[in-house]
Amino acid sequence: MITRLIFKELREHGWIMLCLVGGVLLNVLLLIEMGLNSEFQVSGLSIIRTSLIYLFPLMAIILADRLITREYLQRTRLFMEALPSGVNTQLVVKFFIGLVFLILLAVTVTTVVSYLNQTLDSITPRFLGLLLIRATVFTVLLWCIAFCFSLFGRVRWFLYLIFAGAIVIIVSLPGIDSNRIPALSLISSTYFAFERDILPVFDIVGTLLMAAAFLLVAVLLTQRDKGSLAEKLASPLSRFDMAAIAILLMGSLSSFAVIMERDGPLTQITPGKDAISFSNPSLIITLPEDYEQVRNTVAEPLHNYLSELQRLLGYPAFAQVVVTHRDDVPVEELIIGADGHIAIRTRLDNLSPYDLAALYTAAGHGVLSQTSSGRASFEPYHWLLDGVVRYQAERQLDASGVGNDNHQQLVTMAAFTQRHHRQHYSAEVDLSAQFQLLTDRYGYHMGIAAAYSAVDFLVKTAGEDTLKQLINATIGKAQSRTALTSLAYLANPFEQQFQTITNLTFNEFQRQWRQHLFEDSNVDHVLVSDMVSVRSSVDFDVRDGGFLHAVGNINLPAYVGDAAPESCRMRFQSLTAFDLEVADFDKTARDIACSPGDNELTIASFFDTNNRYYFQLDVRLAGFDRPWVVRSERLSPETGDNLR
Amino acid sequence: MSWLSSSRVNDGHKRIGSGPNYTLIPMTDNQPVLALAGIHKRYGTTVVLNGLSLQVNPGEVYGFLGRNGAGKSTAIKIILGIIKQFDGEVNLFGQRSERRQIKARQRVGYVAQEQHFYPWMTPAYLGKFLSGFYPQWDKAYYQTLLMRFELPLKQRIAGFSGGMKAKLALSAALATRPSLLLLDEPTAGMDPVARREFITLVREQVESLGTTTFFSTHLMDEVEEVATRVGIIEKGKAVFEGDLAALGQQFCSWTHPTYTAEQGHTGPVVTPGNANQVLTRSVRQGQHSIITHRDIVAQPWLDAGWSPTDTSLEDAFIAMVASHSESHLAQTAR
Repeated sequence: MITRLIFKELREHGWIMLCLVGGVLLNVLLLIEMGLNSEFQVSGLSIIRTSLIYLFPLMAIILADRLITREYLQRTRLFMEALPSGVNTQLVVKFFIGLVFLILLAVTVTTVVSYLNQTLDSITPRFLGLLLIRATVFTVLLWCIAFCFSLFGRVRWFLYLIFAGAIVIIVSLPGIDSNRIPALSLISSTYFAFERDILPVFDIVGTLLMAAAFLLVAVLLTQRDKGSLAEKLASPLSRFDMAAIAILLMGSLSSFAVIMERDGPLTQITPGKDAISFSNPSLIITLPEDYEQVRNTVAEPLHNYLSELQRLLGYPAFAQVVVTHRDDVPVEELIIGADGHIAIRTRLDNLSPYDLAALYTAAGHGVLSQTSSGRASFEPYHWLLDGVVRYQAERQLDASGVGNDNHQQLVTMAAFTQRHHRQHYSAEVDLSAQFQLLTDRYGYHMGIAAAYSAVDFLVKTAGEDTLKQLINATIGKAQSRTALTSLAYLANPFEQQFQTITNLTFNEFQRQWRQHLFEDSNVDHVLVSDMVSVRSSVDFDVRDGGFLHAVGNINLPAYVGDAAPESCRMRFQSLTAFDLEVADFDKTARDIACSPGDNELTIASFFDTNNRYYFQLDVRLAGFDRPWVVRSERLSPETGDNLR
Repeated sequence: MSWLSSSRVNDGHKRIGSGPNYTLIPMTDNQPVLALAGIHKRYGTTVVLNGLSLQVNPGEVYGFLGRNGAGKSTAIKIILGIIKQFDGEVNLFGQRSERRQIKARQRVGYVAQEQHFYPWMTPAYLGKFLSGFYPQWDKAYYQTLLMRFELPLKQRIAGFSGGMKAKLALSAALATRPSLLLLDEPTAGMDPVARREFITLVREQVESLGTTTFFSTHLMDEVEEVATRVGIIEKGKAVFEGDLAALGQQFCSWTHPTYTAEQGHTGPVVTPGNANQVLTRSVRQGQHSIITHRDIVAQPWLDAGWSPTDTSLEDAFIAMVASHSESHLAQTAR
């Protein structure tokens, strides 16, 4: 009997289910493509959340309308209720068909997006499990709501609108923290794709209880006069009703979308009257009156660098670069891509060779990302992008005769990242799959150091022609940015391309590169060894009358190579939605002079218990232009647990 | 055809003779297939059933008569268990209402007043679908009936006429090999040919299989053709239950060769009987008036020349309903 009912429902609604599956997968592909094309890339996992917020409610409504409301409107319920099965059995069957369908779809979307995103993010089985749990539980609630409302006949549209309005109000009211409300917390932008360790039991139970409440209302409605009330509520809407509801629905959804997406407008940089400009590639640099000497030391070399890069990579045109002088912003601290050009605000006077190379690198990275519509920043290519632009910057400096020890600094820091990661995370970091993870853990400048070192090693072992071939095959030309291209990449991934060009597996290349790093005479191996042994910690502590403090500790050995530690620093920033790379400029710093032994760093701030914070501990060493990051942590004051 | 002149043999009853001169052989099976006792049902302030009681015995064709809105469909929904909230007791196949389970309903074949089949289904798929609900589903018989009714197996029901849908519903109901066939005004909306065909099939099936049938309708000639016993419901209450002969005994039609009531001529002298017995005086023009023995005896206009004739079921039904309405009105007035 139940089998017959199931088959009947599948035969009647199977095609709409197939349409929904197709529609969802198509939307997911479109979202992936939109994500790839966006100015600011966010985690691809946000697509799951976006789908849960926008697509799944729509699907639940459509499915509930088909499965339940239609039965009342077409009066086929009268036929069904005369059968010796009981109306309750039929409704239970419908409920579970919808539930299972939506859950399977949620699992599929989550799995597919995670799979496609595994080259961009670290997807562990536990993390995938957490994503699945969040998606599934939220889907259960959506279905229970749709199932309940579908029994309200024509009134259901108004219920949907009222419900959507309530959600909008809850989310938008400043006094309400929606991240703490079950269900909303499951799809919180703060937690969804970042909560990798903690199972949100409270949110799950709360959401399931809400689902049970809606289900209870549905049960009561169906039992009221044996469903005759539900039947009375079901009657066709007039065209006027439909039009009014459609307008209200669109308005509500628009409001909802506006409130849910809170990205601020992009900054527009307009060159001032003191700007100097170059063409092909286009470069505009604003210079204060008293910094005219910068023209020769920065502006022209930067333009030469960009020209050479354009020639090397074979791009017909580069995006415009606009550099604005700002006294208070250190080099490579701020890069914004806006409206097709690259805007850089940074200090331009008294730049060290390392700073100059960093500026070139920043400009090169920005222009390549922008010109390739983000393709060059694709995770498997990211190390190559940063490595090449830095390699080219160093070559430019060498060619201009600026003496420097940049190469020694870079390879030493690169060696540190590899040895430190091996010791503290018990794994090698894979450049093609985990470059962003590397930059996240050691700071962007140390990630670039590792990338530069790898490219430098590639040139030394395989020659510059091989590098050019690799660039041409990957980041060296504007590539198609369709979702199909992204899928096609899976058939010919970076590792395969690398092996084809170099006759070496990428893993073998990395092994040889690390081996070289650990033996390279340019590397200060004693310093690296001492810095790898540095112990550090960071946690929250309640001090000074109950206020939360972030307390970091860097335990320095009595002797640290030949480079004396000058200062220790702890920085933090509040994590916003889908931050992949934590921008340095957002961090609030606490600096102290270092000495052997424990160096405690304390930051008293308004740490919100609902927020998550990114902490970074670093040590500035004599002879190095950039500090060495010895610890990175994501912490939540609420749990105190390490979230990554 | 007059219902008093028809004669049929059923499992429980046997009617002999015609006109008022017939006798009833009491049914021998003690277990009623269906029994309702004191059923009350209201929707809000509207009383739909007001103490309805009736009994359907094995093998009989029970004509369930009532005007539109009398509560027939509600009663049938209660019998089927679709409506569960009511006062009173339903006994189906010996099971009390609160114990009625799926198995009891699987023994009931049901044809609704309006057919609400899924438009995308075909008769073939409908049979396959329904077979999952009825253990005694007779696929071969179902297909035979479809062929008999010339219903296409593979055509979507959406394209069927009302008559075709009713035939399909009857085919499906009979294919369940029911112990009780419930027909809820199944011919409503049918054209006369289709209706005739439908009634013929019902009668054939009932006669050949002896299926107990509960036939709800307000079309008297349908019941007259097939029913052995009738129950009349008015304002949610049974105002008559018994075999057709008993109904006939309560009513008479009187004819006079010359006069009409409007002309003021009196009818025949009637011997005093039960003062509450209702008489119908039928005149040539077809006008009816309802009077009781008391009225007739008291009326000086009654004279010779009037003669009793067979009363049609429709006459009896109208008289019964009308008298109940008048009685109800009178009670209300008092």
